[in-house]
Amino acid sequence: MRQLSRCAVNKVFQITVLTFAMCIASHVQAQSVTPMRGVAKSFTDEFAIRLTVGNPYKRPIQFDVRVYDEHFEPVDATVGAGVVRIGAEGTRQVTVRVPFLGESSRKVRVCAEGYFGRDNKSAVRTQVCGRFLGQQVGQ
Amino acid sequence: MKFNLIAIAIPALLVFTPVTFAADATAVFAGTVLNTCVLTVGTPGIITTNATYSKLDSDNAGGAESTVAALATGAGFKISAIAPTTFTSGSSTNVAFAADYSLAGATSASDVAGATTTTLQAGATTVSVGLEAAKSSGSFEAGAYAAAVTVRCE
Repeated sequence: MRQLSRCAVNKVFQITVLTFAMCIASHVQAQSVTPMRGVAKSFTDEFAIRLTVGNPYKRPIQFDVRVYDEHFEPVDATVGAGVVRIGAEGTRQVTVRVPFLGESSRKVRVCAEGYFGRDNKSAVRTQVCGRFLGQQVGQ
Repeated sequence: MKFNLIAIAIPALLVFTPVTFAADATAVFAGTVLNTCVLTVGTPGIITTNATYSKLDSDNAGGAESTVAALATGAGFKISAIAPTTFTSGSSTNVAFAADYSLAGATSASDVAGATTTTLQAGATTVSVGLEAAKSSGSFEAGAYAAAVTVRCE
């Protein structure tokens, strides 16, 4: 009887450990997904956004990371890696720093852009843009 | 004798019952899918001339629209197809560009002007993109022409 109880306790422990491991694994996977919306608060005169660019293709692809304002005019922001080459089905994190330029808040689009085409043909440029709001705290 | 058998059977049942109970455990899985949009280019398009050589169009004979797969994991993303202002190769003098697109799959739409945004429903949608380059005067000279339409998901 005592042996069986110990066996049951061991099983419960094993299941608990398994569940915990699965929770950790899924948490790591969730971090690799690109955010498309976000609010960044900052005490300084610029705010930072960290996003993950993913390559859905089965071959390495080069992407440009560009920052635009609400009207798709280019913004003078600092992009950690303006041009990123990502392996097949891989991801890469990019950090973008945007100055407030005297405003208390600023809306920007951060776009990952890829170019796919052949000579003498019409081509396609893909542009996936996340929309972010930067807010200066204490203003 | 009968009493002895019952006396043995009852403790035996008590001993084996927890084994059956322990086999019915629940393994819990947890995961998160964030809201995102993924664009994957299928086939680049082909633009061909009309009979008077005044238009290069994916709708002309021999032309083909470009296809892009759009995957939205949530609602609220908007798609559009922005026409280029110049050729990436070839002369763009007196040329006006126009793009349009159609959607099939999770979201449906037909012949939407490129700059008009359409809200994507969650799921997979195929975007067919067309391009027209028209000369306001004269005709296209012989040579290679290439232009890029921007398919935007935001």
